[in-house]
Amino acid sequence: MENKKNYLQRNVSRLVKLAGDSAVPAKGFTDSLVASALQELDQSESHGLFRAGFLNGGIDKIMGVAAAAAVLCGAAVQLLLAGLSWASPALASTLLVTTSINWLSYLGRLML
Amino acid sequence: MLTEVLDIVMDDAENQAGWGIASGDAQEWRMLLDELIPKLYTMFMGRWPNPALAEELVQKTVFDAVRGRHGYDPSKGAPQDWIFGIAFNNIRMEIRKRASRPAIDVNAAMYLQALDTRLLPDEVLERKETAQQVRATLEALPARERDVLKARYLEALSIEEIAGRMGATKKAVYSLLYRAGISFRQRLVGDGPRGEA
Repeated sequence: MENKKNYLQRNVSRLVKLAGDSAVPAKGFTDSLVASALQELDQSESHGLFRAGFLNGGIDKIMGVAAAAAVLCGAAVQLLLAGLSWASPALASTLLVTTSINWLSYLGRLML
Repeated sequence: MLTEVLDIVMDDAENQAGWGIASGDAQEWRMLLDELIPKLYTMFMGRWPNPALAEELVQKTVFDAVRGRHGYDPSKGAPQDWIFGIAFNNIRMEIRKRASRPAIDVNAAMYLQALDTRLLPDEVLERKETAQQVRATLEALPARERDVLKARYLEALSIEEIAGRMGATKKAVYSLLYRAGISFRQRLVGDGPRGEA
């Protein structure tokens, strides 16, 4: 029933538009598109620690965050190594490298 | 001398605007979009006479540009040219999409019968006869139903705006819009009540 209503509504919307002035877009469409585009712009600008201003406090703050990240990564590596005592050295190093790269990539994306 | 100075000032202003676009300056974007949306719409309508598709392509082009603004290099050209480049790319994609789907039957009535079970193909909407049929159907609708359909889909007004204009509640507008859709479908496919406009 919901699908039926959706198809009907979408088709009626597309058909009724055919009766309009084909030279210019509706003012409501333009206004709503500009508003959505600016909202998208605003959201993507404030995404990420740099853009949100979290890392804008100068080199001391960036170093502080980097040190905290290094300590956390060290602790994570220790835990991972302890958990991998059963594995062969080759498997252990592969898992360690893969996990580290994934975390570094995640942190990079978070900051930018 | 004066023209040279004016050229330099104009170039400088364009360059400033370009950097504003690349860095996501909201004011620059608003000015650019206000200028470009009607032009993009006209360009898409010139390619396919289908307002719904033109709106869809304008929307896609604008969002592609907003999301890809970091890839725009102001030293390579004006932001308008860059956005038109994105629009041409969207036209090419639409052409490819159309080429890959099966040809549409010339009998549009068959598609109109199935208005509530599947999406009408763009090719049916682009036929001159369909537009004529839609205009005639709208004119034959009771005034209140015709007004609500035009306000919602032609003027792109929100439900709140329509409710304010008609002096009705939002719920009443939703209900009227639904009834108008059913009525429009019945008249369009030829199995509905006639002559009560």
